[in-house]
Amino acid sequence: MDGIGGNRLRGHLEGMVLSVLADAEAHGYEVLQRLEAAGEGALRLKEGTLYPVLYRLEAEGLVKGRWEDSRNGRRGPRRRLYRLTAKGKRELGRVRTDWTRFVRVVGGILEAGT
Amino acid sequence: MNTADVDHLVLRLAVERIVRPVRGSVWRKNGMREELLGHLLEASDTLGAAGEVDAEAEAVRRLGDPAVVRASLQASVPWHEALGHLRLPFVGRFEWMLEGKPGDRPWRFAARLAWLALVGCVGIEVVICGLRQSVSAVMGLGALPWATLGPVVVVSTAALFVAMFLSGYGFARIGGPRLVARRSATPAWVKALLHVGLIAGMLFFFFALQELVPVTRGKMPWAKLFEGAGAGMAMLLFPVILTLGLWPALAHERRQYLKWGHLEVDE
Repeated sequence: MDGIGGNRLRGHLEGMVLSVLADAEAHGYEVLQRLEAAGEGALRLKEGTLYPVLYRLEAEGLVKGRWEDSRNGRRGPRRRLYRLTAKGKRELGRVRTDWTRFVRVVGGILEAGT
Repeated sequence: MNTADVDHLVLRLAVERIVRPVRGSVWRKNGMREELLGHLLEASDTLGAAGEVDAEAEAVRRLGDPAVVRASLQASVPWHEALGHLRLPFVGRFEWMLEGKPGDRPWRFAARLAWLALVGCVGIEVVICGLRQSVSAVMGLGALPWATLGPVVVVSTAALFVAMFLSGYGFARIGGPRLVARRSATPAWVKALLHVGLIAGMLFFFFALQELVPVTRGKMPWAKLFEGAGAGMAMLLFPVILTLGLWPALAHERRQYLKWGHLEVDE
């Protein structure tokens, strides 16, 4: 079975990012790892497209980013940590409700003939 | 340029290829650079630990098509910010006039600009005076006082030379001509302001010269001349003032250039 990626993820990535940020704040790479872990290896994400999504969510006030205070002995540049805002939590609730309804309706239609 | 001593060159070049063409503020783009490089470093570490032979190349491949990522990043930049950093072909063509060519010394940059202004002003003046003279002949006003124009043109050119030398010297102090990245980082509105200031300054001088045209021999309108020349000087000093005003931002840019801008990439 093919992986899920590209156009099939379009429009859902924002909600998925909000969802993985619901538990705790995370930097970009960690968000990706959480998505891959939750996707059970079926997700085919182009990693670079994650950051524009984070920037858009931040611009809309759904997540808030901050540069981490210290590198803790880690090499490389600073990391930017993202956490869900109150507005983001409300949006996540709305996305989940919409998705549940979508699955119920479309799933009902698709499974009717089986 | 020597890039052999740059750590993780493959990763940095990949980041630079994506981010450099994005139209946005230098601060926003540097944030993007830090995040993408951090991501690639972590990804290559993970892949290397998993036994991947060329972990850095694989990490870059997984990032996706640079053009697609760049377009997505561009879409995340607010429209007003992107508009401010739009590349204007007309302005870009004349950038060297205000920013100098790489390796230019301030005096050479100022001398070239003053020479162009001198030739331009005299050329325009000759055309205008020629036209006026033909009208004057019809109206019976007599010949124009050409001799009075000479000193004013010389003083104007010298003033332009001083203004441009100071501006060029200011840029050179912060590494101006060496800042290759600065060309793409300087907002279009700043470039447009600099050019408008320069052109307006030259026009003010030009109008000051025009005050001399209808003068009768032996009487100079000094007050009007100084008024016009003063306004012209103020406008010519505009690039200098803007350079000084933007000094902190340009100094910040230089620090960023030392970190990022010296990488040569195909955009």
